[in-house]
Amino acid sequence: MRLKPTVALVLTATTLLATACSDKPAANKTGGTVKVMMIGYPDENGIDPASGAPVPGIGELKKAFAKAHPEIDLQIINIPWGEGSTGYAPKTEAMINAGEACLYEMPAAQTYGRNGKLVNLDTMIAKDPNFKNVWGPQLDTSRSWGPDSPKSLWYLPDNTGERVIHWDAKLFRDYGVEPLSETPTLQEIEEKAAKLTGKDPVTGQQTYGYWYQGKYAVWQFMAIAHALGASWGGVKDNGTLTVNWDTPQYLAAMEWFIKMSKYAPKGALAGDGMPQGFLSDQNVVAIIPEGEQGYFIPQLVAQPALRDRFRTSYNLKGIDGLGGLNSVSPLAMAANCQNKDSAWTVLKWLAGSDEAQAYYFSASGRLPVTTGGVSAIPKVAELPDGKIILSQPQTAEAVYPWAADQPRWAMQTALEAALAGTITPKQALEQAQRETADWVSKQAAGK
Amino acid sequence: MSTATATASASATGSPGASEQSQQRPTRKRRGSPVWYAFLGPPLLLLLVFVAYPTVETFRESLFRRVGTREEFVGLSQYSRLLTNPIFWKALGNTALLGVAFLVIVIPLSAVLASMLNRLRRGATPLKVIYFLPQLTSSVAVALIFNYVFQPDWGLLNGLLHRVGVDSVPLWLADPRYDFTGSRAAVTILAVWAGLGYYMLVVLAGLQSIPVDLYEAAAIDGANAFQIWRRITLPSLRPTFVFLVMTGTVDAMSRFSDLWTLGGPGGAPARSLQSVVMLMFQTGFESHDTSMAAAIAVVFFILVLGITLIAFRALLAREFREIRGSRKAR
Repeated sequence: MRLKPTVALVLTATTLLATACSDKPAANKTGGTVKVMMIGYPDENGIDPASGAPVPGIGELKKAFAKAHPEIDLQIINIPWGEGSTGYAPKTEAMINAGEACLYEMPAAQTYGRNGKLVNLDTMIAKDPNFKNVWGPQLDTSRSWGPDSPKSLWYLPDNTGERVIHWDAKLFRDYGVEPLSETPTLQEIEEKAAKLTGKDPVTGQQTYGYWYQGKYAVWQFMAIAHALGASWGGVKDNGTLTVNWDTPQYLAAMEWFIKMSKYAPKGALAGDGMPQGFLSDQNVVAIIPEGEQGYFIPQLVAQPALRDRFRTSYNLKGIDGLGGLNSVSPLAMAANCQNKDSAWTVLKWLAGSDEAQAYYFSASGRLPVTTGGVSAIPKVAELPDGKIILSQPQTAEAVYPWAADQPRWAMQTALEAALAGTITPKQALEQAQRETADWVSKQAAGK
Repeated sequence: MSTATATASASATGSPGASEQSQQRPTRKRRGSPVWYAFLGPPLLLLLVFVAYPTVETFRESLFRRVGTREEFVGLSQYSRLLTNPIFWKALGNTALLGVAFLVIVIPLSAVLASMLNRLRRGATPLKVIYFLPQLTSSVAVALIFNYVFQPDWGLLNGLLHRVGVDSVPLWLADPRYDFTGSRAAVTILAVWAGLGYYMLVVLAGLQSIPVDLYEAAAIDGANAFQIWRRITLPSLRPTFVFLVMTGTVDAMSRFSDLWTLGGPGGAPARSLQSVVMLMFQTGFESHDTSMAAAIAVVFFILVLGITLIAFRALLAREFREIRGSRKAR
């Protein structure tokens, strides 16, 4: 059948007009395949062995996306966090250099951004009239230096972990110590940890007032230091960092930390997680800072006895009301992505939709980052400390731009030596400052 | 005279070289043929892509540094920074210390145990399997288990020590000091446990290649068991020990997985477990300074090459003399 020229002209003009007036201009641009690299989600549907709750595989996320955007073929490359040479870091490096995916769940997004390997998402937002900020002020605290703008937006927050202070209500009761407050101070923790270290008056077991994760002690140290008014430094307009470790505030923080380590089990320096017995009757540590709450929520939700015993307080806060590691998971777009418009649609959905936020929680206990995300996981709000659990991420410190760079390791290793007693706190800070200064001097205008 | 004619005449004369030449001839013919290229081509290609190219690229990258989105030629400045960096020297010291400690323990221990195993009339095979099992286990899995064994507060080893009445137990992985109960000692015990089976089997193979006549002659001469072991077994095992020292040195230099699992990227505690390869990895993939990581890789490559060459010439000097002597005699 052939249309008459006049009819064809009218149809074409109508279509063009409708397209131009549409409030969804991006809709006809999107399509094709978008590959996303994600880290650490279950490959298949399963059941959580501790809580018995169903754990959705990554395919469920893909199905939910297909319902929302059937025009885009979303392909998810799900890699494990891994260890060493098989860890996510070298895989990310290899994949982004080879252009294997458009979107990346990327813990070191700021570093890749400053090296020009990511899209500044401000450019995508600028041409998207439908963009709605559902992440609140996090979009501003996520910004960091880039070759084109000192306040580049290299990623959207995808989901988040959080660092809270756990405490064992049973041990507090056994010793007759007042429960930990919602927002404990250094002084409160010190006083109570001292009282809670010794032989439990009820069970006769040796208990400890304090805990630290030796291999990640730097994050706890940063929270302590921030509470004492320390500031690590900042980013200059040319992108170079100024890092000041060797200050009186950091010295006070390290001395306090070392003093508190006496109330912890002797082997805490070798620890890389919660103390043995956590979330069980075998627990012997009363105050457990830097608890990664997300991992434990499914068990707290499933077992009422646990949620009454293992309680949660906010991380240490500074005078600005903020404190605790910002452990947001960034989702970034590769500069070499060939299908940016579709990738942008996928990125917004994966980072901003309620379905995706609910998936991240069900699959791996990761918490929502969107303003409406909390409603996707009502069971968490019902926990005794639900309010704290859900609002700690909003009161975390801004992302440290050096978190995936040499300053972290300089401070972490110096801190370990100080905690082990092989060097003094002052020597540790000088060592960290020296190593960091060497690294900073190489940055020039970008590393 | 063509090769074919020469071979034919050699066969006809029945000279000793004739059969040798007739065996070599087909090989020579095949060389350069399409089949020869077809077999050698793919592995050569793989070597070029996955070994030669990355090696050359690593050398190149060590001379540059990333400045924002571009690379800038910096000559040897990465090397000068590296060689004045105490972290590098500490990692190198750790690598050498852990390697020496491992070899000093594992080689004598494997020699003793292999000698005992060699004399067993029954049950040797199951024991060999048991000793070799750790070698078949993933080094990451082994490290995870040993992380529990050496955990200072609720680990298996300290639990046992408590049971036998030791109150002041070692801190193992929480102790960065240079002592016999610190983190370095713990990972050395791990390495010996994991590697002992392999070393024992190699020594056992060496033992079984010693001619029985020597033992019989020694027995007739009235030598006791220790004298035989000291005067016959150990000297005869020299090539085996040389092999183990050389391969063990290279393995020890490139140690990574277990140290990483126990110590994390920073070689916790306090970089006491950070080897050169770990430092290279941490610099490249955790601190995202690939140029410096490339410089570490190059220095490490030169070190391993140097050690191998020196060990080759020093440890095999006697064998080289013997080869030269036999050539002169001909």
